[in-house]
Formats: sequence, C-alpha cells, structure tokens
Amino acid sequence: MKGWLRMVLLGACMVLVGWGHALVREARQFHQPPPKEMAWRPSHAIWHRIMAGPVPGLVADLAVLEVFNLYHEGKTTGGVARARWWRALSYQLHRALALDPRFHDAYRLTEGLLAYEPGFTDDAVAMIERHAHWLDSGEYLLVASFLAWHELHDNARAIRLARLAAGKPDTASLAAGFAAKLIRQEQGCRAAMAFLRMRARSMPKAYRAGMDAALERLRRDPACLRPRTPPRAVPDARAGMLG
Amino acid sequence: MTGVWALIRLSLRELAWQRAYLLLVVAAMLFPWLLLIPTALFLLDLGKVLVDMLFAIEHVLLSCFVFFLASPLLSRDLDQRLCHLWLTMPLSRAAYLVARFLGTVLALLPLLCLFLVMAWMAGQLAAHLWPAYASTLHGAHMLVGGMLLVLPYVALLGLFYFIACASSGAAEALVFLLGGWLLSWAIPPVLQALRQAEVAAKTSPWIAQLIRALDFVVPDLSSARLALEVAHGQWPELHLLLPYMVEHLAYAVSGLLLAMLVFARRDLG
Repeated sequence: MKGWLRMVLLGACMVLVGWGHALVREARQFHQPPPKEMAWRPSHAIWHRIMAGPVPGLVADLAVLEVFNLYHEGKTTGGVARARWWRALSYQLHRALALDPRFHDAYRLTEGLLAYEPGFTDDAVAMIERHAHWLDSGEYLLVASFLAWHELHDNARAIRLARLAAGKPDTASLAAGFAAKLIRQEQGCRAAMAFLRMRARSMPKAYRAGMDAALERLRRDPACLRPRTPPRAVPDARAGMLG
Repeated sequence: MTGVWALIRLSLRELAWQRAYLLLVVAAMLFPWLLLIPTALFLLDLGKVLVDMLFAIEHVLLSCFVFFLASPLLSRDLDQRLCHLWLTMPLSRAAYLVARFLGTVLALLPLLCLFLVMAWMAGQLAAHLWPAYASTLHGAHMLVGGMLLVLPYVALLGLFYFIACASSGAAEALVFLLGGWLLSWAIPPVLQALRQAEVAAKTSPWIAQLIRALDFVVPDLSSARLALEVAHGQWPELHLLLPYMVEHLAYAVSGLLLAMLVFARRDLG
C-alpha cells in the first residue's frame, strides 16, 4: 500500500473515531433516571466493602462526588422520576457512610440535602441516628433532632437525638437548650427559622435550595406571623432535657 | 558474598533504568499535587479526602511496580535461563533468589520515599490553603501510614517468588499472582462480614472455613482500617502495629523460603 493511501486511511479512521466517540459520550450522559428498585439494604454494605478492597475511604469520596451529580439531576427533574434520582442520591450517601462512617461530608449532605427533599427526611434522620456512635461532633445529631421535631413532628425521636447530641462535647450546651425548647414547645417557629438560617449559612449557595424552601414555608406560616410571646425562664435547661 | 552484592546492585540498576520505572517516578512526583484539584471539590473533610486519594495512588504505584517491574524481572531470568549466568559464578540458588528479592525491595524504596516526600509537601500546601478543613491532616501520620502500606506489597513479592519458582512460565506466574492479589483484596471485608450474626447464619460453615483458610494462604493486602484511621488524623492502633509489621515481614520471608525449597529442586536444563 502506498504511503499517501495509508495517510488518507489514517485520516478517515480518525474522523470515524471522533464521530463515534462524540455519539457514545452523548449517550453516556445522565438521561435515564436510575432504576426504581434502587433501595439501600444493610447487606449491600458487605458487597461495597468487598469491592472497595483496601481503599474504602476513596470509594466513599467517590460516592459523595456522585451525590453532587445526582443532586443536579434530581433538582431539575419533576414528577415520578424525581423520587428515583433522590433514591439514588440516598443510596450513595448510605454507601459512603457504610464505607467510612466518620466522613463529615456525607453527614453534611445527608442533613443539608436529603433531609429537605419531601419523603426522604425520615431516611436522612434514621441514617444519622444509626451512625451516632461514630460521630465525634454533636452537630449532625442536633440537626437530626431539629428535623425530627420540625419536619417529622416526632418529639420523642427529637428528644432522643438531642440527648445523643448533648453527649458530644462540642454541642452539649446548644443541644441542651434546644432540647429544653422542644420539651416546652415554645417559640417553635422562630427557633426553627433561626436554626435553618444558621445551617443555610454554612452550606454552599448551589446546595441551599431545600433549606431555602423550608425557610420560605415557615415565613408564610400564619403561626410565624403572630407576635412573639415572651419566653418563660428555663431554670436549668440541661436538667430539663436529661430529666 | 561479593556475588550477592553484585546481583543486588544489578537488580537495582536493571529496575531503575527501565522506562516503566521512570514513568512511575514521574507519577510519584506529579500525582500528589494533581490530587489537590479533586480534593477542592469536597465540603468539609478535605484533609481526609486528600489522604484517601494519596493512599489510593500509592496502592496503584506499588501494584504497578510488582506486576510490571518485579514480576517480569524474575520470570525473564527463569524463562530465558539468564539465571544460569549467576549460578555459574558460583552463586547458590538460594543466594540468587535472596539477592534478586533484596534488589527488588531496595528498588522500591526510592520510589516510595519520593512519593511520600511529595505527598507530605502537598499535604502541607493543603493545610495552608484550607486550614479549617484540613485539621485531620498530620504529616507524620501520613508518612507512617504510607510506609506501613508498603509492607503488604513486600509480602506479595514473597508470594510471587514462590509462585514464579513453582510455575512453568511467566504467564502462569502472572495469572496466579493476579489471583492472589484479588483474593488479598476481597477476603478481609468478607471475613469482617462473617462476624455479623445475620451473615454468619446464612453462610455455610464449609464456605466460612474455606474463606478462613484462604485468609491464611494469601497476604492481608487490604490495610483498609489502617488507611481510614490515618486519613481521619489518628495514629494506627499501637497494639496492632507490631503484629501488622511482623505478619507481613514473616509472610515475605516464608514465601522466599518456600521459593528456595522449590527452586533448589527445579530442573533448569
């Protein structure tokens, strides 16, 4: 074969490779929502640990990166497909925590993203509660307590989580005060708004949609518009909570 | 003894001047810095993420060294009968194997040191860039963790020497080495799962026994717990450090001794 003919064939092959590659890459994008049955089971943790081998930390990191992709798809999708994206997002958070139960980013995304998607709050709170003994900070437990009280209206669970948070050194006083407020059911609306604002400030702007929506709901709530009643004195908030 | 030293030096030189080795050196110098880019994508645990990625790269570098440099070196000697050149020096078969093994391990050290120095420097930069988010990043922990991760690969080299001496050729040795490597990855998490009552109840006792037996045969390559502890800024548990080091070094020596036994009876004609 002559040299020029080889060069022509090589050029043609490169054009074909480019054409095929562009089409395949397009098809690889997320267009189809994940399967309906994508629900986390404890037995899945075993397989993920086996697959992760000596690098469970890295696989947990990759699961968190996948959460960002899924969030992008989930927030722009409506209808039935939206729940599938969020179920897939929840699966990745379960996976990350099963592989590295001390990974703060996974907890942050659980309480900051998953918990504010309707239908997934219970899953998020349960996930944080299940890993309570791994946490070196009470921050996430306190948020889970808030979510149980404010979103799930489950006071018993909220108090249980606040007690767990009070056991951690960094949030003991805050958790105690919050638990006292829960028990006395005073100023619920304002406390909730202040708490949500505080959490939203520590979250990147692109991921605040869920918290902003919760804040907006509270602002429109007629109960929040009523004039504030002076709070009763709490003699010993910690004793109130622990008692 | 002169022959042994000469062969150690030659092994070092043979490995270090290969293009694949130089490529690994370049990767060891570049990757720690490149990893700062994906690390910046995370929210809070930036120090932990960086250490995770550094250890993963270290695993890749060490695996590449074992599979693409150390394994062909011995297989080529045996397949092409180049070992005859040394055995006629005279150098005993056992001394030949020991010299090749030591030369290979010594060739690993500069690569490892370079990687760890670069990883330490990248860690310092990360701590400077994100002081609030890299509080778990301790240079000393990372260096100790990085050095401890090498021991399983020394044990894997010992296993490979035994496999290479017992196998009929390079391809067979590589297949068995790959099998051992995969088993080493998979068995520790399976054993951990078997400790759960629910899993143990569903698993046949025969299978559980087989997995435990395999665990004794292959080296514990995972080091997953150690890597996670270091990534979270903790020292590896001190009472486990000595058994960890002894286990892997003893495994490497056992592999080498078995290789000597098999090699002593091998027909080199």
